[in-house]
Amino acid sequence: MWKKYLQRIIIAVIAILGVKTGLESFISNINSHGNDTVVVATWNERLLNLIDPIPFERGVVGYISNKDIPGASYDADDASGEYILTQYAIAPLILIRGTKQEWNILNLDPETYRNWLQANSSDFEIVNFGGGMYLARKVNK
Amino acid sequence: MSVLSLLIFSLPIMTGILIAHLLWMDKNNPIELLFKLSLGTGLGLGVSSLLYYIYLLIFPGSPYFIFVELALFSMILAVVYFKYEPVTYVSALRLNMNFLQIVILLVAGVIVASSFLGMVAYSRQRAHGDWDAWMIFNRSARFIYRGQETWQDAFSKDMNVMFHADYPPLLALNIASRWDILNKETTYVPMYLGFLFSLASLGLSFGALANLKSTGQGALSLILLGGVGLFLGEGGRQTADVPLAFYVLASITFLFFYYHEKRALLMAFAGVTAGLAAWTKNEGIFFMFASAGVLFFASLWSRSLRDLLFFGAGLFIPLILLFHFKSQVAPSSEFLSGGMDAIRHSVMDITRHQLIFGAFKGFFLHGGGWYHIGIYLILGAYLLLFYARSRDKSRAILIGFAILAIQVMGYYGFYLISPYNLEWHVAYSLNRLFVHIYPATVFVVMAATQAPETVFSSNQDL
Repeated sequence: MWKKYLQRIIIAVIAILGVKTGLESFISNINSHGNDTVVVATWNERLLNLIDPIPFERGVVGYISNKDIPGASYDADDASGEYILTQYAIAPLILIRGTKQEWNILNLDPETYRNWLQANSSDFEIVNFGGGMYLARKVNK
Repeated sequence: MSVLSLLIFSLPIMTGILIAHLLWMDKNNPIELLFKLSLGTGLGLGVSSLLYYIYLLIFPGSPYFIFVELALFSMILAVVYFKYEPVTYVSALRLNMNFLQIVILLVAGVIVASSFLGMVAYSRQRAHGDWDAWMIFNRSARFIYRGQETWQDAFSKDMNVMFHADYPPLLALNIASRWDILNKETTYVPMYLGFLFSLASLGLSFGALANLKSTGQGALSLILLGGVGLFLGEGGRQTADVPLAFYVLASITFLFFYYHEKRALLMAFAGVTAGLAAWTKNEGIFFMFASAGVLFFASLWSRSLRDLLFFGAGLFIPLILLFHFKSQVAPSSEFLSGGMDAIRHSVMDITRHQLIFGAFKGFFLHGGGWYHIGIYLILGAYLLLFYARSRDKSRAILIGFAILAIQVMGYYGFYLISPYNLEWHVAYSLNRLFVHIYPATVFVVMAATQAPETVFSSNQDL
């Protein structure tokens, strides 16, 4: 008989804990104010403007960020996140790390960009889209 | 656009519901209809995904997929019409529930409603889903929809390995096909897809247990699915974990119905849904092999290959398409990128075993439950305390547990040969791996244990 009472108590406890967790999940989600929707939508819009001059809609585009420049400082999570968001935004163009392609997206902070430009200015035509984003077209292949 | 994005799912879902109805034309009370609605939702979306893949191979860039779906729906509707037997008003609405069942169902309803609304609130703040959704599934869907004739670029070998271009395409094809029909790329489609698979998993577990055990047991499974953070929280992330969990649950549910009703068609559908699990995620491919392996040994034990043959027959079409996808369209998996030497080295590395075993132990003891007590530990203790011997379900229970146990062992093996930083990989994905088997584990545990109706019965002998 004790087992039956224990079983009844356990079912009741599971039900109570389930209600508690369900309500807590609801309240915590209602009260959280994540802005991911805006961040991703803004990134998409910026990138669509940036790739507008590229004359093809399908193919391969290069990409570099601070992570690809020796000595430049960067946050690893941000660097990965921005790379992923860029690929997400410019699909169906395929994004490949490096600047070996004719068209390349540069995502660099001002100082890193200046250093990169010193070494590469003769090879690329560059359009500055602001916010550290540049479109670089290789002129010397 | 938000309502239209939901309505656009109705054709594949109604097709799936009709398929489920054809399997159980005599089950027509409200709970049985909910069961068919839930099972049909996942079945229909899976079939639609397979069909869209074939369509893209034959007619890439052509915007008439809706007519293919319409043709399939019409064909199945015609079959249902010719097999139709009138249902009396009384049998269609007959649903006798006692006070205890109503109470448990109300509690489950509160839990499911609050968890679901929480998931909706989460999704409103993350309309594009979480990291993995941008990286894999929604990205692939954009390539397919925007690329048209060059849709296969979604799975290009040129793509950086971090985008997992080798992942099976169920979710991406579902999203892209809806965008194609809408002629518009909207975030509502992947969002609703996540909601549909989440609700279908709950409805399937409830409906199947209400059929096989009792309404109270079905409602208790809803409490265990909706009342822990582990499962429903994943539904708003727009990743393939909940869809995979649905197909794992559906395949095991079909096995239970097969052993209950002894109809070969149900075993074939266990194969179809195992195939759809493989079409959803790489972990689903392992599930498909684990199921086939367990059924093979069960066949040896019973000295009859009949069950395995029907399972294989159901598996056939998804498996052929998966083979085509993996061999002709997708790049090879990053798990094999290091070659056999790297794999052998990883398998022999004792520190990797220690790390993985420690993480599994930690999750089992403390993960996903209440007050730092692991939900799998709670389910294990529940099974021991509430176990009820059942002759007609014992085989299905044994096979169900065997498949799930092998799946966990497979996850251990995946980590062992993972090419990523192991500590990061385990921390990032372990919870989600256990999400894949959570609804099926709850289902098998509930099938093996006493129902609340028995526990709260006044009969002293029970």
